[in-house]
Amino acid sequence: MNQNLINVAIAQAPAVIGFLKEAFAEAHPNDPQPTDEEVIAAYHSAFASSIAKDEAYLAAHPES
Amino acid sequence: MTNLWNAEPVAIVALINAVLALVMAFGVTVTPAQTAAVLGVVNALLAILVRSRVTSPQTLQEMTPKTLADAQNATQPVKETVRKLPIVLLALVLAGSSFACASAPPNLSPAAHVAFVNTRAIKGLDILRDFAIDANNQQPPIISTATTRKVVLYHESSVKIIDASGSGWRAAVLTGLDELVKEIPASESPKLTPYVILLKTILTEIP
Repeated sequence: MNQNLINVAIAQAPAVIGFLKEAFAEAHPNDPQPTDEEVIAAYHSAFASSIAKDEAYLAAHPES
Repeated sequence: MTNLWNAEPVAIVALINAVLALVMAFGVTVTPAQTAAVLGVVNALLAILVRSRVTSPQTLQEMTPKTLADAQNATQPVKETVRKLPIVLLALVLAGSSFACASAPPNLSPAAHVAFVNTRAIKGLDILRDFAIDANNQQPPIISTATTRKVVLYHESSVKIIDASGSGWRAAVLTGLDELVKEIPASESPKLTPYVILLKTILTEIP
């Protein structure tokens, strides 16, 4: 059980670190800035994929 | 260093990941693909090294009573490490919160600014949800299916609140998180607490 918890934590680490890096790293002024369309499209993609994963889990694990 | 590695392998895993993130956040130019490759190799290597210092239940069952006793003594540092893992994760959270969240690109329209912020919120929520699902998928499950359902239901409702509210979702999502924590059984709460704290910090720090 403890080894499994360690494995899950290690598996989650890249996602956590990647998120923190993206959230806290200031963009360089010379970096290309995203357009409105790109940002809004990224939001819709994040929303859709996130909800899809929720619904897939809930469908596979109905309330007992 | 040898004694530290024997006692705190998972803490060292977390520390190296944190150092990588800090280096990359302060100007080392790497592409997302390079970042993923570095983190993947480092974590795979460290997973192997950590695995060599723990004993699986299967292996324990095959051991003689003497070697079993020796193995149980050897796994004590791992149990200590697991107990300290939330502290390490909390340290990562506090380290992250000491840096203000990067602002949205200044060129964005108001609608795109909201979308930018809300994407971060959703990705932060995903971290808690994904941990719960991965933990539930382990054999035996680390988090029960009943608790995982509660986490997923909270996640789903929060994402829908964010989508419907635009910019006024913060209080509702944070309140929902507090309610979720109250519903988690005491036996499972310590496993989720580091990710709950991380999420609360993220949701609070997002500008």
